[in-house]
Amino acid sequence: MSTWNIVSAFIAGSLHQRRSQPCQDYAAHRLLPSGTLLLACADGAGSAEFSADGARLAVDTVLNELEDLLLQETPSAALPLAFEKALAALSALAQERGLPLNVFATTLTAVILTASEVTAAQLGDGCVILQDTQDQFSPLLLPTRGEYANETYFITMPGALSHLQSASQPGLPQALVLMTDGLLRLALDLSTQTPHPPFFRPLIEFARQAPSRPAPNQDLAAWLDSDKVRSRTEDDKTLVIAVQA
Amino acid sequence: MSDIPLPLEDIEFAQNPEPRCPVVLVLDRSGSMIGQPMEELNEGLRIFAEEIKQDTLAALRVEVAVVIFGPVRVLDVRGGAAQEIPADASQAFITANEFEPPDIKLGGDTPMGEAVETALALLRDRKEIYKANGVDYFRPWMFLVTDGAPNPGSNWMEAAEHVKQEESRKGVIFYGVGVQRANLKNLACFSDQRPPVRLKGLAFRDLFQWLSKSLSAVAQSKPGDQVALPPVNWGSIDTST
Repeated sequence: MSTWNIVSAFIAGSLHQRRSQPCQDYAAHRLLPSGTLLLACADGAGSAEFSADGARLAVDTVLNELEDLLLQETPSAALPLAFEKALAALSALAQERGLPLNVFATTLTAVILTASEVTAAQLGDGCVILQDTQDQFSPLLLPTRGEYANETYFITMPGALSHLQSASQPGLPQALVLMTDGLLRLALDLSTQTPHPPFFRPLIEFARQAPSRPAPNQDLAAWLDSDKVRSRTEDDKTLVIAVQA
Repeated sequence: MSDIPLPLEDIEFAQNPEPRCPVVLVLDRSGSMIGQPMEELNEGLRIFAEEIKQDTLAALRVEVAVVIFGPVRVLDVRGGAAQEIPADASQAFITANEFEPPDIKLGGDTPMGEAVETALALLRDRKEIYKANGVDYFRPWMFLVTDGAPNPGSNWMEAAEHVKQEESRKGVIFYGVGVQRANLKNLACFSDQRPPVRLKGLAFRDLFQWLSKSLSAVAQSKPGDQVALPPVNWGSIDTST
């Protein structure tokens, strides 16, 4: 059975810090007793007032539900059901607080790594990048965008689930990276929609050496908050890296 | 940050062009703008340039073109020279960090409709240029700064209708801006979404916030159903005159 080293961090963008907005990104992962690994991240809409709460609830719900669903369902069948549950949880929260659903607007990306395949689904502009055993990089999921640069799909939009993207690949990658859109311009060559290997190789090397913990990695968080990164993006940033140990 | 582990220090970034936000300033310099309104307009232009440069992200992403009327002319705004150039979207725009506000001189009549149509065409063509070059872009903006007195009998109502249509397609964000004593009733005809505002005290800087905010990709059927743009608290709103 594969064992994975997992490293993650999410941090508020400089713009959010300047305006005293909270970090609207969130990420978490979970290793199931079966050995299956679940990873998820979410990016709350900058234009929605309580999207930080939305992002957190969406990630926690999708992980909880996947854990249950995978006892019965295949990964491909479980993911859309778990996204429905995440939307239901957000609707319940909106009702409880007497607020419209869209104040919790968030993207959501989730990945399942079983012993034999990788499966992912998302709504919005996150992405999932694979490194194969020959050190080749390929996207499993690319961001969905509107016509304009700051537009995407949120799980809270009417009919959003009909836009759910999903992808599955047999066999296991050497490493997998999940991210929200804050780092896209640094990590992908956007004209060709391909991963930029000089971005991913050192990152995966770092994750291989780092201690695997559920909590955010402080070194990775410090790098995300470094001048080098901040000079290129003012948005919230999230990375979740899983590498075969 | 010397304590960042070595592999992370080695990370190199992809080079992608900044996403762009095209902005056309449509400026009234007709005879009725004589005196204080004209001074106010030029002052507003200087403030716009100053505030946009203070926002590092906006300074790199916003591209500015200037259309004056009348007669309708597109200005080259590099170095504040204010030379007339062809109405060509490949030449008319420069990034905001290079924008030097020209000093607009009083002109003649008020072909507001023609000026607005010119601006719409510039924005449409600019988007095509972005698409052809694989550059991401934001929804274009148009500012119409005027005293609100177009040529009598001219086609300005038709142009106003075109702006509204473009706005409802999410093709443009229109800001009607009136100088002192402006007829805001006329300006209100250009947008169903944002009432016109007074130029004086207009905080351009607050507008640029939305460049960093993520927005829904699907037009909402009910107006006001979605928080789509920063609220209109950036000027003294006055629709009563």
